Amino acid sequence: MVAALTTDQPSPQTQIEPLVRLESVTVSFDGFKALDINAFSVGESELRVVIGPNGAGKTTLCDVISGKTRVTSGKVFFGGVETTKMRDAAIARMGVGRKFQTPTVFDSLTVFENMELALPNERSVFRNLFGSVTPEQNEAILTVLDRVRLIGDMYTPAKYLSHGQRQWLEISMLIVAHPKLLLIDEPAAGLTDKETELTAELLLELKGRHTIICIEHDMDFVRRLNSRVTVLDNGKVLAEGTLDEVQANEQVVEAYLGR
Amino acid sequence: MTQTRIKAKLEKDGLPDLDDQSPEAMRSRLLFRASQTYLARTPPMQVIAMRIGGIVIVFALFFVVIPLLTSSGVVPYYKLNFLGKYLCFAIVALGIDLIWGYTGLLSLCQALFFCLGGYAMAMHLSLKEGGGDVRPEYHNIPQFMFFNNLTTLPAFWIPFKSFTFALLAGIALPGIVAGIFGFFIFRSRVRGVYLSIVTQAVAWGAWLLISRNEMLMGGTNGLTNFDKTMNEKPSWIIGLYLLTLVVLLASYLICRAITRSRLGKVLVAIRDRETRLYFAGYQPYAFKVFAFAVGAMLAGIGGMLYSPQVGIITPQNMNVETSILMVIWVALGGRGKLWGAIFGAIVTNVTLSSLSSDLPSLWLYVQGGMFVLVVLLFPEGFAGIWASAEKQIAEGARWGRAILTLVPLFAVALFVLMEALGLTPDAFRKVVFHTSNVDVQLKYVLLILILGLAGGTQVLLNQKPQRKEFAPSAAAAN
Amino acid sequence: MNAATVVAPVSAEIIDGFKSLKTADSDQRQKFYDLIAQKGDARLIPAISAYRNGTLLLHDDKLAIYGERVDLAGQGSMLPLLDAITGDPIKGADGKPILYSKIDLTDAIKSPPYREKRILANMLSALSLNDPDPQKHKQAIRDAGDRTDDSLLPALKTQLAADPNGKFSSDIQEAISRLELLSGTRDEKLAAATTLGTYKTDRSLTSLERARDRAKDDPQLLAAINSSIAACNRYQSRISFIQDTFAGLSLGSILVLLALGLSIIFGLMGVINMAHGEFMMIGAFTTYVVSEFFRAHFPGIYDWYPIVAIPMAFLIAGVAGFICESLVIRHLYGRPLETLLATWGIGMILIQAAREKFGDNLSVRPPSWIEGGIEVAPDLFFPLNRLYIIAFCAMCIAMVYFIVNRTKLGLLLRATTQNREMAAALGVATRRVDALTFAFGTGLAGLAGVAVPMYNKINPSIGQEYIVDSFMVVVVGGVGKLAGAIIAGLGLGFLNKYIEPLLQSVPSLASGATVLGKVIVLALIVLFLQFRPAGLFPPKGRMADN
Repeated sequence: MVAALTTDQPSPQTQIEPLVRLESVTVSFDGFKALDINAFSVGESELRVVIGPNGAGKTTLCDVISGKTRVTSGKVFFGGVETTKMRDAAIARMGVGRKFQTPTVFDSLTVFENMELALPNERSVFRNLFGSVTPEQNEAILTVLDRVRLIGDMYTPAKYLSHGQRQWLEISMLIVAHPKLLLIDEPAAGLTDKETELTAELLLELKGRHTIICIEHDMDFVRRLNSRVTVLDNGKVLAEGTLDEVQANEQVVEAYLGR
Repeated sequence: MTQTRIKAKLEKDGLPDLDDQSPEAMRSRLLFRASQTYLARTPPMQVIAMRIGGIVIVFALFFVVIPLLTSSGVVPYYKLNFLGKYLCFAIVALGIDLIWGYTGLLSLCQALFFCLGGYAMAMHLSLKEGGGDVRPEYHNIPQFMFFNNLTTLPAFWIPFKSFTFALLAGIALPGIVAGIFGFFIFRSRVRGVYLSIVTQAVAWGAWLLISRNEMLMGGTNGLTNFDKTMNEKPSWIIGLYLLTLVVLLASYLICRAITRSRLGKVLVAIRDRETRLYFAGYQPYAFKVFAFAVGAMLAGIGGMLYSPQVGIITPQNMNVETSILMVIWVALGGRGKLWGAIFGAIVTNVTLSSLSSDLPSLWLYVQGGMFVLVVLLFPEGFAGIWASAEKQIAEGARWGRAILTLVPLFAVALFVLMEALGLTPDAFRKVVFHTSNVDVQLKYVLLILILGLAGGTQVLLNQKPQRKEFAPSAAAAN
Repeated sequence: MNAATVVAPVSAEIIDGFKSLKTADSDQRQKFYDLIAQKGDARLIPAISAYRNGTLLLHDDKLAIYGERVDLAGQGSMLPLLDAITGDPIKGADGKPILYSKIDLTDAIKSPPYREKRILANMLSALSLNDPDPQKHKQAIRDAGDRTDDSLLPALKTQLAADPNGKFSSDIQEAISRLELLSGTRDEKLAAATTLGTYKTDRSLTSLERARDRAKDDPQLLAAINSSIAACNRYQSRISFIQDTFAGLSLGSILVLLALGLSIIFGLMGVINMAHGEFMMIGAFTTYVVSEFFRAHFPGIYDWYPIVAIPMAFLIAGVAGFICESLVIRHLYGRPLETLLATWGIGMILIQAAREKFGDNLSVRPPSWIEGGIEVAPDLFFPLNRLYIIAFCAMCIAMVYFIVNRTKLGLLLRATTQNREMAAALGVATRRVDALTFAFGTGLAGLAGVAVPMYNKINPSIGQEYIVDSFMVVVVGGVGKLAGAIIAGLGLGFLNKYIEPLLQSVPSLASGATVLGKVIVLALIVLFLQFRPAGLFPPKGRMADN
């Protein structure tokens, strides 16, 4: 199942409000400035890759968008709504899905049960006490699981899956929840070459249907994704553009190679 | 079950052609593969047979054999009365399993909820309307009130004249208290050891309060002077025992329903990785409050059945030591498995009760040692032993092997049964080992020998790596 | 010392008079009493007192009384025989002091009839106003002020006149005012009422209140009395506040010491040591054993036993902790709830073992230099034992701070706490650091245990009394932060000590004040956690996830 490669790079000068927007955002921890961004935005249905050397603030950027970390100053917007002061659970409910560096699936539950919890259902106590999976939801789960080849392990507790499978399970859990925005932190980490290839295909399929911000180190993977790239360094945006443009940028080269 | 029906339908309609790439065909193939996986996970016949066998034996034992033995005089009635008490504790243990085994919340104040229910019923039983021992010379109010210079019933006691009210209060009060307390505590994301410390402090504070005479709940002497027939007359003893058994069964079924529902999955998810649930848009605290309240209500129900059978309830029933000991019942029996909690509650209580009378100088050491050893060496509990045996059978081992695995479980169950019913043969009660203040009876020596031998053989036979889990089949499937 | 002390030895006339009491009749006795009263010699107080109680002995023609029990090496607790007049021990024919194991009254002079006992009691009060012992002298003056009659007034005035600026002059003036308030002329009463308002002591307050009831029909006097009472009350409430703060400080300092150990252990291993109170108990019992050892073998230097007890308590509690960590806790790393249960079990075992070995209620005799206190201002009394406890805890806390922040061990500890894998990769023996840290934490608990016997009886369960409060300190103060533990510990100490008297002032709650106080503090903590679930000093940044 190879999806068609797309080559579109949505123009940044869209008149429409971008899905994610940061305005003069700084984040300081005990005096250490982790993030210092004048402007950052990602448009709807865009796949944006964020790269940068270690400690550049990539994870903090995602933390700020998903609400895990509070900004020290500045504003964050999601879908036109200011989310600067909102709690992470509320932002999650608005449609922000996050996948962390280390897979965070529920180990004691089976793959299917993990997916079941991820469904965009009522989150109230009583609905969950008496609710069960509808046939449509069942099919949705199966379809997503099939794509990541986890049907055979549907009833295996997640702790027995391999690392790559857990990554896919987590991505699947995000997908099935129909989030507007997917924040994916180093999806290729720890995967074999084959698994990396499959993951790239997966992300490309998702592009267009969801907005994705992806943090990555693996340049081959980034190249495969063939999307707009933002480079961070020391908490600031160093450059933005296609991978080729960015790799030709002197400042970027210096940031990565020398200091 | 959807999957089996889908499979049946597909087989009836005929599987679609593998070359057919139309969406409908792909969909059918997808559903078929899913159903295959589903069926593959059903336990094999032998395991099902084991389970059915176990259930039948347990049911027969508790519902039929034991009552018959008692009414025919083989088992003394007071032993049945004690067994009823232990069953009350088993109900509490179910609640603890729900809160701790499934949701991962180590609450150390369950005894408080137990006492809320117990005291509620006891209040009714202390009054004239409940058959309590009130006399005209004490103004027809409970004696302790009279000795505290009261002449009429305090206002908050009056509703307890009604049995229905006491019943409802015994269930609702623990639930409400747990709900409110849980709301504040869980909402502020207090968890882990912090939660345990806070619940311990609450247990301690509550114990301090109830022990005061000004609370008009009997002070340190608690509430007693109920109608003696309830725990002395045979028909009452059997009746209450059976009632407790039925309530235990009902509680078990309710807990089972909860744990199998999606809510149960959420609880397990909370235990495993609560932060992840936030990102999935859940409010874990609501579920924690639910589990906590249900656990509290179960404890309260256990308490309500306790008061009439034991005839007295005191603040000692809610002190910190008792609260923490309740958790060990569940740890020993096996958390994460509901029947394990029941088993653990009964086993621990019977064993400690025997030890306290047979080895009075040692039993406190044993109790303390249990905490250390169960946690250190026996984390899966007895339910883990059964699960191992099931796994061995499912993987094709011979029955003998499985039975060897089950020996410790059977030995302990037999020991407990005999002790609980007073049927230990005299030969086993002979003192075999003797020091200045310790007389060890044969039954203990035998038990330890059996456990040691069985445990040792298990370890030897399991030298190969334990986890022979079936490898993920993703590599095989395309 | 009163300048009018009689320096000459007690006359033989008096001594013979005492001896004659054995056979005297009531007239002769009365003549003798008049003689003693006239002499006014305070040294006769022990003899008169003994005579009144029937314990004055005539031993080999010497007047003798029993002294206080002493502990002697090899003989245990014995009563010496003392000369009733000089107080020196009476020696037997072999030159050694005579000792009795219990009181023997065969040689006693019969005690006087009831009526004479009253006369003698009054005489004793008057004589004690001249007692050479300063403590007893002061107490006698104060007791004189308690009287409702003015029989001692002249004696007091004489003393004051003889030495207007002596050590006791303010006490004497106060006593005089108190007596005049109740039994003087109207002008004297008015003056006394105003004067007592400047003294503001509790004793003055008592007298003023007594007088107020009697002055109903004298508005001017009543007004003076009331304003003085108001002044006294203001002063007294300030005093109570300071004393409560002081008590809170001493309780808080013990809590801080305990909480520090807990916090260090929790910060390093994520383990709440439920047996922490029992390690404190180990320290307390070690102190007991050391003190008993000194009592039996080195009674002369008994007062030095804390020098040995302190390091011993630290050592033994630390070793016990080391053993527990190695046998049990290290196998439960990463499972904090299970460790909680296991340490609870260890605690139970320790309590039972202590109960079997030591029984249930022991008291340790504190060294003599810890008794008494300092009276900083009238009625403001700081018991020495609490002062020493505060100083001791402060020293220990400073030592902890020093070790954690300035030594290599402390550096290893902090490194392992913050990033175990990295520390291990750098060659830190993390397992050994774990064990040593745990031992250090329990050793601290042992040190706290040394303080407790100084003001309380000890029993195997004392750990349980402090442990919940210590947990609360850790929870409120935030984990691993010294400053948090100190602030929270002292805060909780103060809170406990302020709330209790507050509740006691409400009559319906007074009897349950202690309990209710603890419950209220608990509720406040739960409320506090609503706003600060990770304590006062929560860990920030990436660490906050754990």
